[in-house]
Amino acid sequence: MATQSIPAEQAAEQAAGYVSAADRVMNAAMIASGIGSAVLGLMVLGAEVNGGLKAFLTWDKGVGPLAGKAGVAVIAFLISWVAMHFAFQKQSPRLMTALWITVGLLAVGVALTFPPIYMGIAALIAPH
Amino acid sequence: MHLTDRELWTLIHGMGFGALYLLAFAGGIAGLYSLRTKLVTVEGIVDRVSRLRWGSAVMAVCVWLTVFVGTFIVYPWYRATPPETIDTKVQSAELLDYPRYWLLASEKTAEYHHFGMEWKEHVAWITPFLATVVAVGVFAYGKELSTDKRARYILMGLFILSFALSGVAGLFGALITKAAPIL
Repeated sequence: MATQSIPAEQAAEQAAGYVSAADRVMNAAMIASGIGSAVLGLMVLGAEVNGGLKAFLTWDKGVGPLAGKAGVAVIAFLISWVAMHFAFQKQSPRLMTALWITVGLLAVGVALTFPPIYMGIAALIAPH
Repeated sequence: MHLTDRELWTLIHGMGFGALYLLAFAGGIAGLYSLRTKLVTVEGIVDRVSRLRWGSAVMAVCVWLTVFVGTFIVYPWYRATPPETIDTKVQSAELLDYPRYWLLASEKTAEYHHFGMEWKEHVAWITPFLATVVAVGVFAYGKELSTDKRARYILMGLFILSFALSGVAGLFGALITKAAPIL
């Protein structure tokens, strides 16, 4: 006997690749969070490698380049969320596909915000 | 006992918004985990979903406030540059007012900045993205979370990741404040 059942209609829909309204909303937010995270990681690495980018990201003298790194990441998160929210109303990936995309992007973001990784990559790309 | 404005804001960042998020996580994850038809009645699901909606929304707001206060209010005090009259290679009493430079002045404490702060200041910004996704998911699925195991587990996974990353930020924040408090 199943310990956790879902309605038969829902099971059939999932099997047929149907993406529910809730899934579409979730997919957009999830992938956007991954994009924001990956962009953050890329800005962290970029600022470490390129002095010009680091100067560009210094939106506030007191905060330093962190202001721009976070700012660009938040902007990327918000714009991609809004864009995908409306785009996925017409056509959306399946929930698990969106999850794997998100996991991949989050892995990039988490890795590139870890000092031994981004400093190590920066040393390889642009040794001081 | 007297707290300076800077100490107060540091408390608001770490022990206020940040600690509130970390503590509320326990209730949130328990709420998501137990949202199952075999464990809760129909009325119970309605009640719990309502609490989860409010709770996840408040938690998302908390973590956004945590990173904003930390980055734009507290962090400038941490990284302030001392005047040229202060030797930045010696951990003197004068250098204590400049925590970043205090930590970097000694090999024993330099890694608090190079590793601790460099990790914390960046990775913390991922947590509000994840917390927002959790809140959006709770609102989007609502009562469906009690039957949609896949969606529930995905939300729980993202919630746990958000907690872990904010835990890293909180841990290093506490260690750095202990080593070089913002006075």
